[in-house]
Amino acid sequence: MRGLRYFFYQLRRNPLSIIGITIILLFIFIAILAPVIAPPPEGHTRTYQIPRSGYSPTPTPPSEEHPFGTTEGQYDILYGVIWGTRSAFKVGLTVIGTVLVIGITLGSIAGYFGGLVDEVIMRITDIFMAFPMLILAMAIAISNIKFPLFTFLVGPELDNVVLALAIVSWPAYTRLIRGDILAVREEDYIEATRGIGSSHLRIITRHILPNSIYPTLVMASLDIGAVVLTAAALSFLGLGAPEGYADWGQLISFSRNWIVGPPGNTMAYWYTVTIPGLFILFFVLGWNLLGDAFRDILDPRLGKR
Amino acid sequence: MEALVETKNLQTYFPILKGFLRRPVGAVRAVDNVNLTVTTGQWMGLVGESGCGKTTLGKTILRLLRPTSGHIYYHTPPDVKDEIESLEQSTDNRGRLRELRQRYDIAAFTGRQLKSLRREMQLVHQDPYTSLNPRMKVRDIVGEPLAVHKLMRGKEARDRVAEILQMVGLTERQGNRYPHEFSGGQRQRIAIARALATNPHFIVFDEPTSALDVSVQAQILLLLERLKSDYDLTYLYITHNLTVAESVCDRITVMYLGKFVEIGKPADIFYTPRHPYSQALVLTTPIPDPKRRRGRLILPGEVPSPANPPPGCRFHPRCTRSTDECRQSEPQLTASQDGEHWVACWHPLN
Amino acid sequence: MGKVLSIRDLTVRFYTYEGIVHALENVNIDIDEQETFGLVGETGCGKTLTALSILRLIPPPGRIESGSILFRLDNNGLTDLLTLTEDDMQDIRGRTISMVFQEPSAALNPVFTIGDQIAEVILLHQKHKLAEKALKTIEELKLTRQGIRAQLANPIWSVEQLLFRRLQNNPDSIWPRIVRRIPIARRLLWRLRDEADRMAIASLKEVEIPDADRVVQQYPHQLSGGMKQRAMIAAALACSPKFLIADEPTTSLDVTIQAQIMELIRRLKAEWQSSVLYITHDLAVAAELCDRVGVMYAGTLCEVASVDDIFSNPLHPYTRALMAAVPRPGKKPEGISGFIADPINPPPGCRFHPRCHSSIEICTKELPEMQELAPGHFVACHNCLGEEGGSSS
Repeated sequence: MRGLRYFFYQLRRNPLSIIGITIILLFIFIAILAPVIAPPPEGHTRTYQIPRSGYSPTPTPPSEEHPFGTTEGQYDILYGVIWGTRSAFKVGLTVIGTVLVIGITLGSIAGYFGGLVDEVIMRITDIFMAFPMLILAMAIAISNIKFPLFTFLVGPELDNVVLALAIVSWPAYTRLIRGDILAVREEDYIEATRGIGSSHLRIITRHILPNSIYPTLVMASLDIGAVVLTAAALSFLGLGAPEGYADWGQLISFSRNWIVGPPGNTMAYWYTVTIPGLFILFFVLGWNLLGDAFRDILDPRLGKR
Repeated sequence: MEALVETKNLQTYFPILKGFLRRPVGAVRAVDNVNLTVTTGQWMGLVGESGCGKTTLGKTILRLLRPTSGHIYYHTPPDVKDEIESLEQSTDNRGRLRELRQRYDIAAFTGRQLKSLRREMQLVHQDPYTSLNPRMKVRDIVGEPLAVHKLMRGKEARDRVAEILQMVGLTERQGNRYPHEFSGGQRQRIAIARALATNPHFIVFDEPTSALDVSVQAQILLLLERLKSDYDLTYLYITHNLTVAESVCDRITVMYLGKFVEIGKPADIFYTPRHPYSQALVLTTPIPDPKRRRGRLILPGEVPSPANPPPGCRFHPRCTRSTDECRQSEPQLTASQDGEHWVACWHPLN
Repeated sequence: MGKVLSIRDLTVRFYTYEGIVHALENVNIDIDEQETFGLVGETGCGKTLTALSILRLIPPPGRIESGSILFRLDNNGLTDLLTLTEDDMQDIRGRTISMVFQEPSAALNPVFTIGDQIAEVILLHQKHKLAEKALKTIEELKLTRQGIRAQLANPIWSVEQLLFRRLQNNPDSIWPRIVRRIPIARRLLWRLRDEADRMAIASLKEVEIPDADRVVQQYPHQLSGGMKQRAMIAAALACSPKFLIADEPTTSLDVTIQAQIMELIRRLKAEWQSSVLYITHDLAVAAELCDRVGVMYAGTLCEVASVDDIFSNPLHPYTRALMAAVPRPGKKPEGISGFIADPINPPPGCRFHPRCHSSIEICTKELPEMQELAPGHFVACHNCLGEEGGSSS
């Protein structure tokens, strides 16, 4: 618990990190309280489908009935961004969670055992990293391959996006962990525990990973924001969530034609772009600041003897 | 007295790989054909400077490094050793040789045999700041050997950990802390406690006090003395400090560039060294007495690389007494009159 | 011989998360000219910090709370280094006061060659000497070279001469500094670097590095520990400093190499007539090298005396305990009971009293002051058993 006190002390010294934590906590609140803030209307069964109040293609500005306005096709923006928070968390956490599991497993095996196993795994990561990230993600998204686990976790609408992002992100984590493990592997206490007779599994799980995983966790928290951003990009291109799904990128894709309004009133439909955009911005900002804060806190700690 | 640990013609070479295909172009001959004998209950000191191979030898005996060739015997009856030696010479009966080696020769052990070996022999590292996992509590560090070998669990294990901690001068409550909360001397005690957890009989100490202050070093040496007599331990004590070795060891082996150059009683080596290198070590080690400064021997040059040792006697480029014989052929260890003092030199002193 | 350094009542504290670390408390040290003063103590006693204080290189969150460091910068008496500006200090570091560090692998920059690093020191502090040498070379060129190439080069040489003359008169002069910033014109100053390289090779030869021409182009990782330490000493002595601080320079080296380095320091000190502050935890090394020895414990100075006095008649209990702990041939080392004082919460009064066999009541209350119990022999103890009965108050 002494570590926790130190954690808060460092937090106090780093005001940006407080902002980051606040933002994320705010989003967590919104996600949890979604049914309260934006309750689905009577009879609306598929919660993530944004309710429409009409079929007119023109977005309507914010009003009492629609506090944030509506997009093309009369989808309520408020409902969309609030429930979109849940989607964002689902996508972000699932992708990062999957990628961490794959990365840690493969990275540990590669880094600890070295030799041929290491070479093979590294060449596989090379192959994946040779593709431009967005192109590969788009290809997978279009192909509509499904992975049952993801369908279970995030629903049939987003599982494709999650699969695409997971496939694209895992190589970087594998390499990162492998690098840190290579450094820790040569430490004296690893040799000491080998001298006691520990098995490889024990050495990896109890000795190497706890000492090498922190930079990876920092990158993971920074990446949650990046993943959500990429998912939004895919949705904007039409490859992500289906039409009308409560997802920030989806909402922005609706606004594609309405970014610039009619001449004389160019900002007429600002709410279609800006409001979902702000949600994305602050979400990514929050995770970035949090990741930076983790890194600042953990780095001097790691050097502390 | 019976030999507890013995090595015969032990070699540990590290290949040097160069080129695109990583082909071996040479080898670092860290331990080159070494016959070490440590008798039961002995405090053997292994003295030499950095790069002489003493740490490599210690770790090879414990099989933390793989020997390139040679035999390592632990608690092996002498007739078995003799049989293995004679079988080595002949080309037939390879089956019997293999069988014997797999039973008795540590250099040939694998898997499970190695694991059970780890209960008998342990290593205490040089740097107490890096030899303890910084993210494990002290009691987990000390108790890990018990868990790995499934010796004790639960309360029994906790009691044993408390007992060992007390043996090295720490309290049970201190077991709840992390290594970084302790000083260097205390951390070394924790490392010693960990080494004692499974009741080993043979402990290798790799320069355990070189990272510590003088007063702490004295405390640790006294602790080691007490533990040795209380628990009938045998020590292989690696150090570069001849004065420390002389003050605590029963017997000293001096090592240079992968080979033994002198073996004998500490007082003999200190006051009547027979090998020029031992003499240089004795004369260049500073003594806390300002009146004895002048006329000390300054050994010229640097230690040659163990990848490219000089031909003949390895010490000859730095030796003031070297002759043609020294340049051409390598001297072997020969005993003195009473058989206690061995030296590998063509022109030994005294 | 007069005093070259006089540290008076130096107190240094570190303000950390865990609390205020009382790193140095009222340290008083006097070093005479051409004297080798050994500062002996165990880890955490503050000896390295004392050295860093002289050079004002204490890292934050450390602060010099009080005291003065008087140094003989020129022949007009002592200046308090703590009152000088950072620019003045940068001038002093490397030129008048130089430091050799403990770990040569850590103190040498791994991405620069040895030659680069020694030349850097020379370029920083000896521009006027370099300019002088360059001017001589140019004059010679002008006299001896003839032909078309020489005629074409002549105007360039004249410009170089102008710059170097200015440098010779005033190392900080502004025109050379401007020229240095202009990308192509700065090539005019190449001779400075050339001369500096030559001086670097000469200094490497001074420290007996074999094959100096080759070593000057090598990187630190290509050298052995002993060679790296020699290179560091070369860099430290490149500008012939008046005062050399050596912070445990031989701790990480083998004993035979240590003997070589100690001999080297002895010789160079005699040649350059400098004073040396030699920091070590090894009493034996201090006995070998030093004229006077000071013993520190937990940030306070315990005893200061000539090397003969301190070994034949140690008065402070800590000094005696330290002597007993050193292994000698035929004698088993004796430990000191207890643990080193916690610098955040040091024991009240004398910091050694919890571990001291001769502590009396006053030791738990008051920090003892340094008293001269014999000529040149100072002890800070309330109850040391000394020649004149000690000061048992």
